[in-house]
Amino acid sequence: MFAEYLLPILMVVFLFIGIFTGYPVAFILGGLAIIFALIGDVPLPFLGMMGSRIYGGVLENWLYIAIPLFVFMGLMLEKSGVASRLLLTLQRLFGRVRGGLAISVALLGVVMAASTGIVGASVVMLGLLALPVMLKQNYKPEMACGVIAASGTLGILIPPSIMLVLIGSIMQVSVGNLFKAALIPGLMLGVLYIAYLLIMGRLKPDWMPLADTDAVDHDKTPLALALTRDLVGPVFLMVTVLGSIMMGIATPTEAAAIGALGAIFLAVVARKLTYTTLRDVCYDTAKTTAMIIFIVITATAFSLIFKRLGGDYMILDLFDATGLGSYGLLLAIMVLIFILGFFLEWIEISYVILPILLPVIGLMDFGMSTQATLVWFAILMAINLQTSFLTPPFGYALFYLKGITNGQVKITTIYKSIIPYVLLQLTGLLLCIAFPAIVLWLPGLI
Amino acid sequence: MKAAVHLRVAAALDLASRPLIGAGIWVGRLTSWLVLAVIAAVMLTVIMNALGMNELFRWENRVFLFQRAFTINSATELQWYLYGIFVLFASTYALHTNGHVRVDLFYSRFPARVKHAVDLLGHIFLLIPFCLFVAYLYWPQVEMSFMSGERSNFGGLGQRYLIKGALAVGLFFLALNAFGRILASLAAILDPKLAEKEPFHVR
Amino acid sequence: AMADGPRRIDVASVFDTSNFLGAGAQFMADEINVASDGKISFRVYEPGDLVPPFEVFNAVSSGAVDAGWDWMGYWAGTIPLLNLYGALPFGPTPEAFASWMWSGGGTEYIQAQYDNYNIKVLPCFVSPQETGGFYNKEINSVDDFDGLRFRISGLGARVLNKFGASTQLIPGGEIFLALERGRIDGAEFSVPQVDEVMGFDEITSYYYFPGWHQSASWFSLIINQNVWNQYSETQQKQFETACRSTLAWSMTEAPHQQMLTLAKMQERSGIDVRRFDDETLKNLEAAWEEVVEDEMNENPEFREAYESLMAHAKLIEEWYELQELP
Ligand code: NA
Ligand code: NA
Repeated sequence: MFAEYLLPILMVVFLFIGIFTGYPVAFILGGLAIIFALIGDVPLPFLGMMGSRIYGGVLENWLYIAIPLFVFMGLMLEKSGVASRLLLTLQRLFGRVRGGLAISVALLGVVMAASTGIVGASVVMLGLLALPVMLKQNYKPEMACGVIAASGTLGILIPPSIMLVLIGSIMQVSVGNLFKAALIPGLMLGVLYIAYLLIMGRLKPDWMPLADTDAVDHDKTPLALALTRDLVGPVFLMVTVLGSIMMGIATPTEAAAIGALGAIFLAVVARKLTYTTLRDVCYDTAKTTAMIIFIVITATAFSLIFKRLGGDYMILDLFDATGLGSYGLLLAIMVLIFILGFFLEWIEISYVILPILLPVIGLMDFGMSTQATLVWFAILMAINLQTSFLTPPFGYALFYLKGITNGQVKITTIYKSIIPYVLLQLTGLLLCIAFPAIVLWLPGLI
Repeated sequence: MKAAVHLRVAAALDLASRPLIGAGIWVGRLTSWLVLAVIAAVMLTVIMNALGMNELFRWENRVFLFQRAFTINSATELQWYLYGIFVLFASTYALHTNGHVRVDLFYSRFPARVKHAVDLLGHIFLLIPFCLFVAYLYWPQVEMSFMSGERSNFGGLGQRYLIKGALAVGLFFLALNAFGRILASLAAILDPKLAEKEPFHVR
Repeated sequence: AMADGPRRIDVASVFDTSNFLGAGAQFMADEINVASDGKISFRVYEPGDLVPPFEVFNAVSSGAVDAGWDWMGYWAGTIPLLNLYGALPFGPTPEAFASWMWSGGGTEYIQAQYDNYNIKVLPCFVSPQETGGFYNKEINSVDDFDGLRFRISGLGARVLNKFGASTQLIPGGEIFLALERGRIDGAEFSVPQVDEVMGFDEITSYYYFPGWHQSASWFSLIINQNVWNQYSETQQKQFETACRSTLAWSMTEAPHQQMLTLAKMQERSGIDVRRFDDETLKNLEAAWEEVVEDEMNENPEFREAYESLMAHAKLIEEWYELQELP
């Protein structure tokens, strides 16, 4: 088996080696794709598909248009000072609770999750809003990054979710049912995060220090008034972004544009919109977007060659060798997806691995209807894939976060930051496996 | 006193790298502004949809890009034409501003010249081959799109070859800029003084 | 005798093989295996596995992928004539259309076009008439199309535009959300068997019939000409045999399944299944006649094929009329 899969194995090995040299991840992915295509004697016309995949899968992909727009919105909000004021006031609201700021971020994450189906966008928004404030307040960087990355990824689980739409169509289960089924697990994760933050606030108070009294009390405005004042802008934005989706004015991409325009408007109102501000926001939007999208561009080339050299068969063979019962198989699949999540993006896993696994799912029997089994499995899969955004070396949430920190935070710090949240997600996953009702109750499949 | 040969070579390389890097930054900054156009195009779609409009304008003769009418789908497709150009040239801009993600576990501890060596080798063996292979092999698709007059099937935009061509041109431009950085890195390796300079000094 | 062509070719499907439209690719793969006595086999790839669905035509043309399984309408941006095969409003039935394709010269018209792109085309699958779509608003007359935001592609869209509808380009994966949130008022997608999986019935009120905008739609196997030429004449015939068998399967498997699926959907979501009234359909047809006239003036190849198709269909209609029992 080793000899047969030498090339895909080497691809992964060299990827690791390359990444640790510190050369940009995106370029390593693309370069290895070419090198291994040449070593593996992949015909040139096949290599020619890389361009088609980039054009059709990345440039022509509407969902991705939302990314620069949300980045723009976040940057503009930051420049207008609206965002940090709200977070500070929110923290006043949470009073003397340790980690109040982090809890505000988690709550904001849940709200944003319900408004978009796009992970990158939420992480970027939360990061731009909250990270500077948290760091200024002397949060341990690990603490700050973790809650942002994790809360930002809730967006793919809490409906609406682009991922569930895709999984639903691949597995031939109703997307409406999946949306219902994902709601409780998604909120449950949010609750787990907040519980964790409350506990950490007690255990490690210096990891999330309270704002020093001066900073909070510097603002002498009565809390109710300050809250009203600082909420006007963001509530206006929330109404424009969330509301435009809810009321059916806009798709998520369009809502992002509405949000971007709203942010410009707030900056005008705050008298902060100068030519320099606008220019800097445009420049920074370009850089951040490029960093995100170029990874997607080269990852698509990498996975094309990985599959061509037998990487997908390697995975299937690994799996065949187990010979397990229903729960054993389920656990094996979950472990496999978790591990693959370190290297592949959810689209690859959903489109490549899921179809390979479908026949296996059909073999499993958990004493529920076929429909219930499929919905349950799809949600387990979705929770599991959520971790893939957080697990290094390829966790998009991590990259997005790194992209917006402008070198303030090391990628290794970000890696460390997500460990507790990955564990919390795995806890959520195990809870859903142990108690299928968490998933199946709302869609009425129990 | 005359500088040592290797220092003079370094200075020459550094000088040669500047127009390339300068062009990359200039183009990247210019295309950055396209994000505003993307916002405008998306807003146009939102407004037209809210009003249940299908066409904004219609005219007699088929014109460049917009064909015979400006429909809601023209606005929709305009979004990704603009976004595509924006993202492709931003990738080059990010190259010069050190915007692409690195796993800096060890990298951050490397001496400046080693950092330059990593980038130099990476550009030569990874980035440039990727860009050139993809761009070169994609070019026939651009030509085919041009010959067939490929256009929207939804009453949107014409001239699909423009955005397909932008992909090939964008990647070629990135390779050219990576070459510029190779010259700069070589210069820095030869001349420690250059290496000590912050290598990504633009914003 | 000529040497045999490749034993295994890659086929990039534009639909998931788990749904009816993509299942055709897998069915054909099985048929070619039998017809060639195991000497030819397909490796069918899921959409996006090799290239994104909309890039399949270009990939086959350039030889990047050996072959593709497609809905012909996807390539109308490159070959406008394909609108006729993908989604022809008020066109003939699948049976009459199939007759024209295989015995009336229909395939030759497209092959002549595909020759320019170095592609051999085998039309191997026809879907039944599609539905009139899912709506959140009642359609009682063509006036109700005014300002209606509807997801539809091709020539049917141009018909609706005449009544003031805003016809939109929304990618497959986003239709559900757009419909659910009311960003669009309705959408047509495919036949009930395929629509059911998307769950559109759970978020809309009305499911309208008939699918006037698409009376039959063609799906095909496209093969890079260089690959095709490597096969011996016998092998090429084997492809045709497998193709016709797949076509027969698509025509016999589909119709009853749609009614069974429809019943399932009604039970599940209680969606209101309706028909457009005759007046509405008559008005739509009148508008279609203007659209098709424009299209024929614009595109002489379309005129030629369209006139040939309609003449062929008329013969079949006359035959059935002559044979009709009271
Ligand atoms: Na969501
Ligand atoms: Na990961």
